[in-house]
Amino acid sequence: MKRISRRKLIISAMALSILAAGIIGGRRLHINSPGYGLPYQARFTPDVEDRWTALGGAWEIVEGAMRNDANDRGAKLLMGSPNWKDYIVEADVQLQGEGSVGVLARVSDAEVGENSFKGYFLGVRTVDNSLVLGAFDFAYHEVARVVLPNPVRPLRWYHVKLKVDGCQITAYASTQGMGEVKTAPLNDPDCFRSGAVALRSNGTGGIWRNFRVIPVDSVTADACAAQTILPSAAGSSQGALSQSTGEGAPSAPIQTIRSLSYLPPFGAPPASIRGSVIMIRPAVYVQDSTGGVEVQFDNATTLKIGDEVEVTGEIDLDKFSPVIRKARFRLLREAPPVSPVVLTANQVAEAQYDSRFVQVEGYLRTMSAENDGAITLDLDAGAQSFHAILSPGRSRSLLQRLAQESRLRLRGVSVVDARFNKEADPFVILVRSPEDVEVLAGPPWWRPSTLILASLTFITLIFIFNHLYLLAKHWRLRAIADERERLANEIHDTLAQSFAGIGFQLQAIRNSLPHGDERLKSQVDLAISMARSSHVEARRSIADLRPKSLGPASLLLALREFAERMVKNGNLTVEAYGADGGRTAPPRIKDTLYLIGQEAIANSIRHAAPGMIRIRLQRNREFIRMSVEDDGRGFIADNHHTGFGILGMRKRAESISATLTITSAPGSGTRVEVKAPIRPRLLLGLWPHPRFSATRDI
Amino acid sequence: MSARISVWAPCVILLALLGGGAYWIGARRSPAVPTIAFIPQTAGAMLWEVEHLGARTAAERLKLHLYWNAPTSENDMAGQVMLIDRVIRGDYQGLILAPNHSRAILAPLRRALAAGLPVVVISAPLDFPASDRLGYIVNDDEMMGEIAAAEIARITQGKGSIAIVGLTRYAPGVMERARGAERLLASRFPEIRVVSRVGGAYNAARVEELTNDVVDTHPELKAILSFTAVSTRGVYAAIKSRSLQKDISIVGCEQDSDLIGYLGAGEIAAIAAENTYRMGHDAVELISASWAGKPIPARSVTPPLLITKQNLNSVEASLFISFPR
Repeated sequence: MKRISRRKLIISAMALSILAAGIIGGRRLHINSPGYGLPYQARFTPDVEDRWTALGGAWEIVEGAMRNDANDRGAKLLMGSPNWKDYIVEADVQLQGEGSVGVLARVSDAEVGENSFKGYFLGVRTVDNSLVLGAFDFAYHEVARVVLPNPVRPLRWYHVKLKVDGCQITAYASTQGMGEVKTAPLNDPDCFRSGAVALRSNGTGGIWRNFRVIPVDSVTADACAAQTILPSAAGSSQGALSQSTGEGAPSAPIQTIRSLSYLPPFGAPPASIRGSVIMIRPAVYVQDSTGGVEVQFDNATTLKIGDEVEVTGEIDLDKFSPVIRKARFRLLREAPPVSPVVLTANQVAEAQYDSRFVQVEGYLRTMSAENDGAITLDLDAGAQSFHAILSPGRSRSLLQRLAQESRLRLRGVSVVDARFNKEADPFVILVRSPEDVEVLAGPPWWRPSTLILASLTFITLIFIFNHLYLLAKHWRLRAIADERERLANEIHDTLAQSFAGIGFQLQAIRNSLPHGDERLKSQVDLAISMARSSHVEARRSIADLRPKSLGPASLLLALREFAERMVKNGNLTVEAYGADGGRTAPPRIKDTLYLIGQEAIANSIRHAAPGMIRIRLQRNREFIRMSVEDDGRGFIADNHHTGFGILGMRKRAESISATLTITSAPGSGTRVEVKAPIRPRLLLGLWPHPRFSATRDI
Repeated sequence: MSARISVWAPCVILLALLGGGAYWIGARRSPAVPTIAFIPQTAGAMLWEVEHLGARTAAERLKLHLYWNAPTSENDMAGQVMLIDRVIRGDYQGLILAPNHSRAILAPLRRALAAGLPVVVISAPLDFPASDRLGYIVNDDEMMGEIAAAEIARITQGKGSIAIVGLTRYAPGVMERARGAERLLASRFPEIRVVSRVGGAYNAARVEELTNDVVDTHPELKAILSFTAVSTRGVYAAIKSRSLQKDISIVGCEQDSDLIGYLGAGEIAAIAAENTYRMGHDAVELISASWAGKPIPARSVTPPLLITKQNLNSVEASLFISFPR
């Protein structure tokens, strides 16, 4: 019965495993299918757009559009499946300066770097006022170029659309007042067959909106070319931004940023500086080789990270760090962003790098989301502690990605200004984008949560191992017991029967012998005696080989039956009382009580000549109490009258931590009481199962 | 072998437990006489040794122990942080701190307060809010700038070119001195023109180099106003090397034994000195009072004193420039 159950269990487990593997495999197949996730329409809101991966640039979601505020060469922002095949990717794009912006299709093997990916690019470019279609395989190959009727200008929206259908690649562009322009289709038999999509800018920042990806088979060929989402975008070519404020010559002599600290500390003296823009949001910072400074413009600007600018304004020296207020700027050059200065937290805390772009490492203590959506990281670094602040937007994804006590590398602008430094830290790092937070190492394994989990796993493993060990031991003992049972049966069926038969035959011979042949009779008697003796020996062996465990039977019933067998056909009365809690008692305790009970009953019948034997059994949560009482002649219950039977009972009682009490007096009967504690159930598994133990002390 | 181990192992474990327990009990036990840790910007300099004297006087009167230690230079920020952390870990009942950096000291200061230490920051305030367990006893830095600038005006008779030296934003109190000086000059002595402003609060060699540049660029310079003792030493070295002591007057801030010597020799016109004796003395008293549950006052200001050759030997000046005996 049990074997059948186990087989059923194994079959069920296998079926479940196959089902689970099927579900997982099916899901994987679905995810890897060319159409998974399509069509896709980007919403560019912080709460949903966390699937994008930036490679270069400073990307952020602002007012329903994705922006790259840095002049990186070849900044990319990827999303989608590497298995996407035939689709149309389109978006409204806007240049923030001189360079190119557009979209990528069938992107694979992408890395940080200008040409470091495989895929197709469609974009608008200022240098030659053209719509360009190109292929990248870690080198750029321009495939088609169409000069647009009007010059390509920054801060103007263009709608670009790239269709990849098999090995035919087609590009379209349109803008307000221009109509649609289309490149010649590229037919490349060795084309890239599949890949993700991306936004890309080169040499300048850019803005993207109305981005979507739709499968080619969901639109007709004609509709594809005619389809445009431009009307919703075309009317706002200037957006909320104003053109750079080229002001000509500065109204104050150019000086280094460090020298701003040496200006008269009152009266807001005018000053002009030149430097590179290192941050746009939440504040504009400009740095030169001597230091950095916050610049406050009265109006929004189109500055990008990397821009080299000349800034003129009034110097406010009231705070720890100088600030240029009422600033005007002149764009000198669009340049790639400057690299961070690599520092320790102690060095940053010295404030000599205040308002500069730095890279620093620390251990994440806590992180939190502010009401405005900004993410604040609380970090420790040796003797220093500091905060890092990420602007609202894409940084929300960090909350899932970062674990406490991780070692982080941060790039950002170091500031001590109280506007950001609310906790009075030595400094705060203003991080430009989530990509500027790099996890160098996860939390250490000896964290309390890990230790607790490991301990629980270890304890569970110990229990499993112990259970398996006991199971193996159980099987082994059962095999031994089975073999002993088989031997006992064998002896019973062969030797014992034969001895009995021999005895009968000899007895028959003995009965048929004539009178007077005493010598022969005595020899036959001897043979009969030997056969009987061998028969007894065989029966003893059978008895020894057979297990004497009580098994699942009721203890009370077993003792009663034993007593009744002992007094069969006699005048002795056997009474048994008590709820039979022994049925659920631990086997070892039950067996031991049974043996003690047998001994007590046997002693009573043999020595006390009782008229009645009363067996009681009582059980609660803590102990089992068993008593055997008679009304026989009794004895003096002291140490001088202790025989082997009583000694055996005591030893058996001790083996289960039970107490044995014998109450008796001459003429007053005898009462044997055993009180055995029940061990906690948790430990039961640790006890060897006695049913199959080959104990010989019974 | 194993029998030997079985005998010794329990003994070793027992001894280790006993030793650890004794150490723990010893470490937890508060000493009979409480100890205040005093960490100035540096040690061995007159400015801070005078403060030491004030603190020691108060500690002796109150029967307290004073632990006094400091970095070997004013710009050793890491050294001061290390000392503060040692105090936090050690058995001290209060901390008096003259920070040598206005920002880098904030994190260890927060740790000290978190550890339950009452703290008094002296000399210059920090950008950290005062509380019942944190107070400031500061020099009136704006006033120090004003009295130094007034002396410059007296020397130059209210006109001519001067230079300002030792400007460093992260040096506690320096920018406040500059603000006080420039405001006074601009408002009351408009004919005094500040032709150059240079940094280097804690780097005498750099200040010497910068002073040479200023003197070369502005030969008409009549005086130099310097805001720290270190920068004044740099200015003095430059002026002395060119033998311009008679042509360019030096007015410095913060007392220093060398500078006092130059002052006595007439090579330096004046030094605006901090009353560090009073600060050290009062800081110990405030910490002591805090143990009785009295909150530490948020801010106390001590006025500076201009020391010239004329009042150098006065009783008043001696409090500012006396080394502990």
